[in-house]
Amino acid sequence: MLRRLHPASHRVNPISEDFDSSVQLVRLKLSEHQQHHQQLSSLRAEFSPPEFQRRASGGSASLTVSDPDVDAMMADIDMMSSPSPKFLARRQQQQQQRQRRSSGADLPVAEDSRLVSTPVLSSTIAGCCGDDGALHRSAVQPDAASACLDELRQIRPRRFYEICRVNLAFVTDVPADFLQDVIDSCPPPQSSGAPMSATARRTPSAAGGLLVRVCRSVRQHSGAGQPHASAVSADAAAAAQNDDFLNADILTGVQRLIHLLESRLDAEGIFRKSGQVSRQRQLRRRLFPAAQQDLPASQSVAEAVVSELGCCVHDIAGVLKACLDDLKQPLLTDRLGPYFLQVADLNPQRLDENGNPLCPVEKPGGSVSLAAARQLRGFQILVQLLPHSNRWMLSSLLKLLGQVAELPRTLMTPENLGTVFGPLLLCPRQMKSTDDYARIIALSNRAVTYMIRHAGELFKVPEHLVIDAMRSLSTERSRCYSRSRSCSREADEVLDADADSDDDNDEAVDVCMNFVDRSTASRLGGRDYTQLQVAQLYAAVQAMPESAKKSALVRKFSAAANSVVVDPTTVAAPIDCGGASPRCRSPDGRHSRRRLCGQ
Amino acid sequence: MSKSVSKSVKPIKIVVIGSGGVGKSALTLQFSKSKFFLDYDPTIEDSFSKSCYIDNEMARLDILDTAGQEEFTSMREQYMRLGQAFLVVFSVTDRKGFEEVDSLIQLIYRVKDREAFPIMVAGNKIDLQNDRCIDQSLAQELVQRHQEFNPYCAYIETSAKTRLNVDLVFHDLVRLLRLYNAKGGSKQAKKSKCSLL
Repeated sequence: MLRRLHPASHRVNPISEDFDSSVQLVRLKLSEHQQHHQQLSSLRAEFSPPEFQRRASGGSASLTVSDPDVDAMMADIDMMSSPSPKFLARRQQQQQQRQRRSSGADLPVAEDSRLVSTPVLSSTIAGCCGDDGALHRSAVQPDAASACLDELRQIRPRRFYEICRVNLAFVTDVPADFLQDVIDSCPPPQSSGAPMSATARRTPSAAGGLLVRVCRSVRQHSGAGQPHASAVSADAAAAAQNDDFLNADILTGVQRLIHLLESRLDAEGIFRKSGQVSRQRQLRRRLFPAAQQDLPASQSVAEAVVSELGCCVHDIAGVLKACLDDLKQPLLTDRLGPYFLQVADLNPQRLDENGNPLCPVEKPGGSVSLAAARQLRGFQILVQLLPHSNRWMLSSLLKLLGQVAELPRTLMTPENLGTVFGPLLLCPRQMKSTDDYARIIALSNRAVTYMIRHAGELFKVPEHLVIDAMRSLSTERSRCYSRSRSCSREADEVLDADADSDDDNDEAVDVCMNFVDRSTASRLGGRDYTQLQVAQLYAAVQAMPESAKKSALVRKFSAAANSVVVDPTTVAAPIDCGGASPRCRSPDGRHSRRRLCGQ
Repeated sequence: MSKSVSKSVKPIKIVVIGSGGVGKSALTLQFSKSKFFLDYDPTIEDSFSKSCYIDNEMARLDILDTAGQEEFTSMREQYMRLGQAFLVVFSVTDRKGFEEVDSLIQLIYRVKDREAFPIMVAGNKIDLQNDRCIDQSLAQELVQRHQEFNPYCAYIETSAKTRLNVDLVFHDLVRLLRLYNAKGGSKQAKKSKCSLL
């Protein structure tokens, strides 16, 4: 139990010998590794899953962690799309990194660390800092956050789903067996140390998430040894659950339709007005099946088909809607659909008599209401739980709809688009007679409206999820690391035993919850928010015209002033922050709580 | 006196159908609330009721305004089964909406399992003469084709914006329904069964 509460400090010991000398290198390696991840994520985001797989396995078959290959891949991307400034900047940054590394010469530990997988190194830092919070505060950029989550999804799908489930439970009501079938279908975590350590030594990126998949296909091809088990991805598990109803055909077809629509959005009532049925049928027959055709070439073919048939924008929009409607399940899946509705209901917008939403009063710092923040987090977690293809399709669709909503000439506001797309994306295909049809439709419209409006934030990973994912990953890495060391040195029997006992407790999920300690926060921030608000309220009351009501309020104020007003600096207990900011405390801090579930 | 009459009168269920964005809600709101709304919100389902005298006879109309989008077709059969008279709206500025009229009328026949039924076809938005792409003759032709076997079908041009013919189209629909009921259309026009059986 003690160990569970102090996993980080426990982890420091085995690696402390060479820690001092290697921490610089480790940091360097870590940032490098994250860059690889970012590149892969960006590759992933840019291409549809089939396209990505084709590119990752076929197009650049030598895709491993070494720099030249990544460069080649980047060049590949540059050729495909004209290089964006962001891309160039990243590339430059990477080159600088390489220079820095080569100028640093071969550091003494370099050989040793090559033996160990790169992700392991990050755990070195995590372990040494003794505070997970400190690590991710410095390391988590948006890209890195999703990369981290992707990695967990790949290595430990079970843990990933468990963490999501617990985090979702903080936001809304979920049944105890939510996602249980998915979790059960995931491969159990490895129990014996030997294969893992062997794998770790053979392939430097064994735990490298996405890289695993790529490496695997490459290695299979070359006949070398193959890392197993850990490579079975969450996507595959979802597919086993029959969630993967989006095949490459539909994905490519939809992508093509979106491309076609992008240049024609500026039409009144797009997605609302219907197109001609016969033309739509023809267009659909000509554009599907789409997967066999090569994309860039086929785009011009598609354009030609459109002009040949004389299709207008409403026809194309109609085909897109029909495609979404013909999916076996709604895009947001039958499994998660009810929770999307539930989360949409978290922050019901009140309407004035004309049906316009009443804005909640904005706080001065631009902070949103608690319910809104909860709602956003709920949506973010749910989006992360979607199978990868669905998430990808949703993001490209929302991007398109966001563009539509921004064009005033279309007259399609997010609400209007939500009304049209709600039933397509969210409503169960078969409604039971007992269902409250009107309510389901209203909620799904609200959910889709919300997603269109907040498309930018929707695909970010909520902070809590990242913290939990990071912690799981660092546990995983340290275990992997300790095994490889124990094998190589034939020592540390105790350590191995420790790692095994860790496996026994594998069902537990570590979840981090953050609390704001008001007194510390106010002391550090230098001003008391509540008192400021009270003063403002008092001023507002003072400004009221003379009336019985005003005098009653003033009396209340003076009564409260006598009893409540307290100087926050006098009460604040001395709290050992350990250098961390008050929002995220170390595991043994008072404000961070570890929850053990499933025990 | 009129109140007691209106309570005793059985409401008539009128269903307004048509393609998306043709002005079904505008027409319905103009009739029931005498207002032209400029909003551009797709309807899911709205209902209104209004009582009025038509040919010196009290009528209570329950008007169901429906969604034009195909996404809501799952609700379609339900309200079609309940409807007693239908107002099929298209926009004279929108060819696709017009093309859908015929299939909608066929759908009514099929759901009702009748060959004749009170149906009013309304060509809306005739205030937009410059954008007009459906001629009156074209719509008349379509309705005449239906009138050959369905005498309770008629065509009127309307404008929800200028309130042209808005009352007339609903009143005429009620007249058609009365005619249909008086002739016992429900029994007479039932599809003839297979002669072998």
